[in-house]
Amino acid sequence: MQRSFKIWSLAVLIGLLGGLALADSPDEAKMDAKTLARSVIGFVQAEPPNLEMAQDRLKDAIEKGEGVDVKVLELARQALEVGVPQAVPPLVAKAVGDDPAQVVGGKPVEVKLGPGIYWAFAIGLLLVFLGAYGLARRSVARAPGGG
Amino acid sequence: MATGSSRHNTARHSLWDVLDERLGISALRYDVPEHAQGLGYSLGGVSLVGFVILVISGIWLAQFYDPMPEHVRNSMASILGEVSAGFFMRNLHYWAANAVMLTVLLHLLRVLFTGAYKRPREANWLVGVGLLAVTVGFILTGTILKWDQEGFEALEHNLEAAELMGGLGTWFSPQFAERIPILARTFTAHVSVLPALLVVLLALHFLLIKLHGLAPNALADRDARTRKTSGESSHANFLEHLGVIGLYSLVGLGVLVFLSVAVPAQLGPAPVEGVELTKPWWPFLSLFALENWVGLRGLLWVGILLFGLLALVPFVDRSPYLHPARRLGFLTFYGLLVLAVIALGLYAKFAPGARHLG
Repeated sequence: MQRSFKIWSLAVLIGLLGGLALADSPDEAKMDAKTLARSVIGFVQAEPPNLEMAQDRLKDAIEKGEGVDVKVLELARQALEVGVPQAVPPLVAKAVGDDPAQVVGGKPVEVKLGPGIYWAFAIGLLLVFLGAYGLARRSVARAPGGG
Repeated sequence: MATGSSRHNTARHSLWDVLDERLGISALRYDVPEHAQGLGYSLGGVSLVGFVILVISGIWLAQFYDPMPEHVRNSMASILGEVSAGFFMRNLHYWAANAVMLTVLLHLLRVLFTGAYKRPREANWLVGVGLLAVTVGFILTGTILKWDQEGFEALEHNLEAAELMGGLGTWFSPQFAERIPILARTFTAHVSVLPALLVVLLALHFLLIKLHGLAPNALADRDARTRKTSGESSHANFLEHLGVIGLYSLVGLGVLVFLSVAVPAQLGPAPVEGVELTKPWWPFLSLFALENWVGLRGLLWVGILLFGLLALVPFVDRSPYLHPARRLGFLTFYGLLVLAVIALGLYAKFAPGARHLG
């Protein structure tokens, strides 16, 4: 019984570790230069930005080189190195043949507190009050000796 | 001479009579057990009201949403900034989806805890598991439709899972209809395929509830057994039960209206291929944690296993007793499972992200 438990535990452990190893295996080798370069924009625009990953991907994209403008990618790499990450997305877009203006528009859409917040607060409060009042009235009416 | 109040009552009664004669509303006044009037037994009804809110806000959003990839970001920005009531409707849709997911899960846990799936209600439990799957489908497709980085990563997961499924996943792959963008097909699934499935399953769910009656009170005594409750004498009727559901829903709607304006849902950056930067919405967080360990292929099996374990519930716990004290072993197993899912979700919330695709 104890032996079979140990064997099962070992099998589960190997399975989990194997899964972990497979899940984290690097797959950049499968990506073409365009996909690698485009992914740089994602890392730069992420919150918080992952500039280290962006640099790695830029390096890989430049090394592969096929289907991208390597000179422009080199400029993007320099921009990243001198601390101007905001210049990277349009440069990368240009290097892969995308429209740089589209990349600038790819930032998060700014969502602010709604203009009707006071109305919404009042309507929400009224609905909550009406519902709670109805439930309270019902529970009083159903209580022993209630109406 | 009639007073104002009695005239008002007479008018109200005659209006009721007119409506009742034509619509047969009083047929809904059949007895339901007393214990059904609490929040625990109203969660299913509250979920249904949530779905109605989703349908109404969804119809509004669909008028302005453009599911073609090249236009979708502009249409989302327009809904949030220009369209009349678009900001409110988008956020109401988002918060109602959160509320429905929560109430559906709580409803499932209530049924699990009180043994309401036992004979003769096994088939209805299976229909309920199907409804959960449809709800998850709505959330997945809805997340993709907003087409930001999170939505795009959800789609990439879906596509890769479809690939792993081989022939079974063909329908979910872009190759199934190459001329139509997968985003447009996801939109079709969200607004027509899933709602059709939902309506069919809900109709079946209600039909079976009417057939078997609401489940007996599991906590009444230790010997409480599963049986039909319809036809029992009771002080409560179904119309009153609907009233209770309506009142709880009113409170919920008030909270949703406030959240929709005060805590708006964010829309992330335009998607970029080849990166995994985001974490999924809370219903999928525990799966995200598992994916870190077992990869996407393992996750597919875990998902199938979880739904399998849910479907097996009425066939594993076959004793006629409902009281939790008489089902300790069963409830401990499923309780631990629920705790594991919550713990994994919390872990995923705070753990660093990982790459799963490729």
